[in-house]
Amino acid sequence: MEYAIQTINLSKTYGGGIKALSGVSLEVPRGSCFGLLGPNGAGKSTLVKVLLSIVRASGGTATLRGVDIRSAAARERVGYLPEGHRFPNYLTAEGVCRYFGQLGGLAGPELEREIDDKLEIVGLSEWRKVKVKKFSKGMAQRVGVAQALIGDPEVVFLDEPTDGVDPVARQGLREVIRKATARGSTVFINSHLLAEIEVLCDYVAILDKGVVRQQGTVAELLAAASGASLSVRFRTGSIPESLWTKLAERGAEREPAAAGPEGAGAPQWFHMEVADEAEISPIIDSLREAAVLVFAVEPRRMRLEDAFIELIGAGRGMHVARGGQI
Amino acid sequence: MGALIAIIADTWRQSRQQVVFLIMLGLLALTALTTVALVHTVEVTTDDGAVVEKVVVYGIDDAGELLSEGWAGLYSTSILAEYVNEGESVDPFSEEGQELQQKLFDFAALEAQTEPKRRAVETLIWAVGFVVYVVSMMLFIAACAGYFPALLEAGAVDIVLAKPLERWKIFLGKYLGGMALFTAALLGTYALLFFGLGLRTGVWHPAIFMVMPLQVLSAGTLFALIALLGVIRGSTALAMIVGYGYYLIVDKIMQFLLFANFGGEGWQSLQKVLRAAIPNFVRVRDTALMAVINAPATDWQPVMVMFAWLLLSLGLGYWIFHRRDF
Repeated sequence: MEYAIQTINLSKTYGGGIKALSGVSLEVPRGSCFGLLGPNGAGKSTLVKVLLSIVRASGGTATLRGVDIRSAAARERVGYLPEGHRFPNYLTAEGVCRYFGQLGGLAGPELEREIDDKLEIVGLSEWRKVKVKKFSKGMAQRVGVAQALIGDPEVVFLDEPTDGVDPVARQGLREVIRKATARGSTVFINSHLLAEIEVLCDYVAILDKGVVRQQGTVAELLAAASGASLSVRFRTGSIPESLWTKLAERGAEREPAAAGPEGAGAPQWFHMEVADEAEISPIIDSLREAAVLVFAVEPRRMRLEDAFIELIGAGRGMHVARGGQI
Repeated sequence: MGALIAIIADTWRQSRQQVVFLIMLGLLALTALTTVALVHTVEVTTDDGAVVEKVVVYGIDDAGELLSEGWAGLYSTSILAEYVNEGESVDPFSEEGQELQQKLFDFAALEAQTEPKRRAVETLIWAVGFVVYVVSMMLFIAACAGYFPALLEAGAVDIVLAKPLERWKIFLGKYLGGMALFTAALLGTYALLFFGLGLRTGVWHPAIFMVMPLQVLSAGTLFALIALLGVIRGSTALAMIVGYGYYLIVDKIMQFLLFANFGGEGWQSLQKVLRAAIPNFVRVRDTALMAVINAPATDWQPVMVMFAWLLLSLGLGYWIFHRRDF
C-alpha cells in the first residue's frame, strides 16, 4: 500500500520538557480520508505542525508524499487549514486564495481558474470581492477550506474544519471533503466532532498524551473497543422470574424504566451480550415459549464516540456502556 | 521566485492599509511640493553691472545669501571632518580650531561664488533632504514595527510555513517588502524634487539621488533591529518603542559619546574602538546628506559599521525565525 503520510517514532518535546508526542508511528494510505482523534492537549495539532515543519520534530522520521518532511519539497501540493486561522484582514476572499496559491507555486490562468473553482465549491463566489474581515466565522472557515484546496493538493490537512460552521454549511463542507477524496486527495482531519469523523473517514487514529492508542479503519477501532461480542436490546412484555433468572445468568441486564406505563404488563427493556447474531434467535424462541410478548429487538452498534471514550477514558476512570452512557 | 515576490507584494498591500504609511507618503509629497512651489529664480544686477540669475525662496528675504553661506558652511564642515577622520583631531573651541574653521569657510565661500545658482540649489536640497530624511525615518519605524509581529501571529504564520518555501524566503520576502516600499516612497519624493527644482530653477542636480543609498541603509538597519525584536517578542508596540528609543535617544547619546571632542588620550582611543563597533544613525545621515553638495570627504567608517549591524541583525533575526516552533 502506498502511503501519503508515514511517521516512525515521531516525537516532540517542547522547552521545559513538555512531551507533546512520544514515538508516534502512523500510516495514512494515499487517497484516504484519515481522522485523528484525541482529547484536548493530546498532541493532534502538534503532530500536524510537525508534519508540515511548522514545529520541528525532536526525534523520529516522517515522510509526506514519500518525501522527508524536513525538505520543503515535501510540502508541495499540500493544503492546510489550521485551527483558529487568521487571514490578513486586508485581503478579500479571492485575495486569500490568490496569495496562498502563489505561495504554493501556482500562477497565471491556472491560479485564476483554481480560485474560481474553489470559491464556487465552498459557495463563496458571490463574496469573492469582499474583505475577509467582514466575514462571519463560518464564512472565514469556508475561505480557509477553499485556500487549502487550491491546486487540488495531494494531501490536505484540515484542523477542526467545521469549527464555528452552522449545520447547513457543515453539511456542505463535508460534501467538499468527500469530493476532495473522490478526486484522489488524501484528507487528514483533526476534529473533536467524532460523529463527523465517523461519517467522513476511512481510517482513524486515537492520540492521547502524545501516544497513538489505536489506529485502523473505523470498523477495526469499534471492534477493538467493543471486543468480539454484540450487544442486543430487547423490548418485551413481563418476563417470568424463572426465565429472567436464566437470562440474567447469561448476562442480561434490565434497563431503568423510561417514563410511561408501569405495572406487571408494562413493556420493559433489557440488554445482553451475544457472541454473534445467530445467538439472537434462540433467545427470542425462549421468550416466545414463555409467552412473553416481544416488541422490539435491536442490535446496539457501538459508535465511534463510545469507542473513543472506551479507549481513552479507561485511564481517566471512565467507562462507556453500550449506547453511550458513561 | 514567484513566492518571494508574492510575499513582497503582500507586504506592500499590508502597508497600504496602514495609516502611518499613508501619512508618511503624504508628508513626503507635501515637503517636496512645498519646496518646489516656494523656490524660483530672479535676475539681479551686480555692483559691476552684470545681470545674474539667483535662486530665491518666497517669504525669505536674502534667501540667496543664506543659501550661499549655508553651502560654504556645509562644504567647510565636510573638509574639517577630513582632518578629524585622518587623525588630526581638531578642538573646535581652541584658537587653532577656530582659525582653521574660518580658513576653510572663506575658501568654501569663494567656491560658492563660482556657480551661485547651483550651490544655492544644492543647499536647498540638503535642507529639504534633511527634513525628508527625518520624517521618513520617524514614520518608517512606526510603519515597519508591525510587519514581523503580524506575520508571526498564531494562525497566520502556520499557513505560510506550510507552503513549500524555505524559511529564509519568507523572512527575506517580508524584509524586502518593507524596504521596497520605503525605497519607492523615497524615490518618488526625490524624483519630485529633482524634476520640480530642475524646472523651477534650471539646475538639474542628479546628486539628489545619492542621498538614497545611505538612507536606505540606515532604514534597513533600523528595520533589521526592529525585525529581530519582532521575531523575538512578537510585539508591535515593543518593537516600536525600542525602535524610537534607540533612534531618538540612544543614538544621540552615542553620537555625543563617540564623536564629541573631549577627554584625555585614553578616552579618545576608546572612542575610536567604539566607533568601529557601534552604529550611529546621525553620522550616516550626515554622510548621506553631504553627498548632495559633492563634498570632497566621505566618512566611510560609520557606513561600514552600519552595514555590519544590518547583516548581524538580519542574520540573527533569521536564525531565530528559522529555529523557532510556531
